[in-house]
Amino acid sequence: MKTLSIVTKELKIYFNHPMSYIIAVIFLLMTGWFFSSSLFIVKLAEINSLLTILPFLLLFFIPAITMKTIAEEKRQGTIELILTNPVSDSSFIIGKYLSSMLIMCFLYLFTLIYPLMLSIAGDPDGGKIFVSYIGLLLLTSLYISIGIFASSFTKNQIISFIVAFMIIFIFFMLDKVTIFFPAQFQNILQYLSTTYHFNNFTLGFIDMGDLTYYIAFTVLFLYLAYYKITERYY
Amino acid sequence: MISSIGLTKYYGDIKAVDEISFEIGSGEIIGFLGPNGAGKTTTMQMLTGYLAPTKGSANISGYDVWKNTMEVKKLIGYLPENNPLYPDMYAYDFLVFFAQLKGFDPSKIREEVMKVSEICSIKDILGRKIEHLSKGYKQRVGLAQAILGDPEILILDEPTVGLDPNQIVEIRELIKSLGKEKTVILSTHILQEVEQTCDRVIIIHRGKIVKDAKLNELIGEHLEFVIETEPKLDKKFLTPFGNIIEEKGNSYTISTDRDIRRNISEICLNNKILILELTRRKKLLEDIFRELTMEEKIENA
Repeated sequence: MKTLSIVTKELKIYFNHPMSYIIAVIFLLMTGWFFSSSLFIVKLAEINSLLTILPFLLLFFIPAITMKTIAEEKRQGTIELILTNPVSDSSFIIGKYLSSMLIMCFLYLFTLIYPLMLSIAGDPDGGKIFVSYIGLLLLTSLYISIGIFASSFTKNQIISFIVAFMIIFIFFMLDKVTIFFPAQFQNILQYLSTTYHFNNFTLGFIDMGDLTYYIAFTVLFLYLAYYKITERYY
Repeated sequence: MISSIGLTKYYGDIKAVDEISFEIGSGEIIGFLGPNGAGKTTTMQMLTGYLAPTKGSANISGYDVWKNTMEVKKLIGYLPENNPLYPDMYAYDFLVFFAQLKGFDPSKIREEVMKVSEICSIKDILGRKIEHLSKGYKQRVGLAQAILGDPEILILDEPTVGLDPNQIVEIRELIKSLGKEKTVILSTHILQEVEQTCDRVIIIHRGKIVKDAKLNELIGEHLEFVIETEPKLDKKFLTPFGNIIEEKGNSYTISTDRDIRRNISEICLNNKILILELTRRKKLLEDIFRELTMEEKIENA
């Protein structure tokens, strides 16, 4: 219930701010470009080229959404106001996570127009696209929890953005650098990489291993953020 | 109602609050006084359950602050330092949000928000964005948040900082009227504020309580008398009553802890000395404060 109030408040603040709409427009322009280029240039009725570029685009967009979550509350001092009311630290973190998820879902909602257009132009694989969107949500969830974790460390939004960007970038790059490592590490690095798991979804597979990966890492980073804000008790 | 036993807080190696113990009864208005960095804010944060102490405990209305934090949070209305607000929110939404956090039934939220807005006179600005409000109104919105749900205890951390003189008077009046029904702890370094609003002062310096007394007692035990006589009164008559701080011509200024006007007139009458002036001067809180917080410094140096 209180988590819900925090989510509502976050969304109110987000949508009260003109910057939010600018971010939405930029996001749609960029996704639109990658979608249409494959459709009109390669003439393929699929959203794969968009999906392969998304983990990279989100590398910038999600830290921009999450950078203020905790850092701004700390800078303003409002975190003290919230947490001296009968609210637990965990509902504070979960509220931040859910609101960021909803904001991203709001952005993704507009991208649904792409598969819709495809179904007019050709005959896309609906199941594959559906599974891809599930993968996209899981990927988003992991990126957001990293962003919130980075935000819990500082009062400065810029630092929060950069730290989140760097952590996500490492996760993003891991499967691209495996060839530089000895064979026994390659599997581990590949397993840790976000894009490797995401690619399985874009191919239309839902694998328990991939699901576990995203859920486990989301929980881990949210727990670390929780740990960071409860540090004042020690 | 509120009791603190040996509250101590370390930030790393730095001792911010050192063994602070006090008892506060129901309905008191307490002025929490101290120079900047004395540990006022830290103490208040510990009382609200936001920070945990390194050592010691605090108890509010029978609840231990760290074992029953949620219960304690329901009893306290808190205005943190610098009055934090969400600039991008509308004042009404802001108050609704905190009413929700305090666990109000959704059907009663509007009524409650209207009630506190009435008390703080912010009804007219509820529809405005907080960033566009004047500092005085922002302060009122912060106070309105603190009194949502009619808490028994109000903890206000420097509620008048940065306001203009008119706004300061208004906020003080507001606090005074709230203090009629509630226990209020008010931190400040403005001494007039304490003199005008509080019943009792706790002065802390370098994390320690250096004075805890009722305001009138505190001022009562620091009296000064100016005595001018003709001919000059001998010093030996005055020394038993206190210290002579100043001697100028036929007049003395003497610092004492009780009313000595009767004794002086008696002495003068018996010795056939004329009294030209005999005035009682109350020492200002400012002097007491300076005495208490400067002394330590010299000792430590």
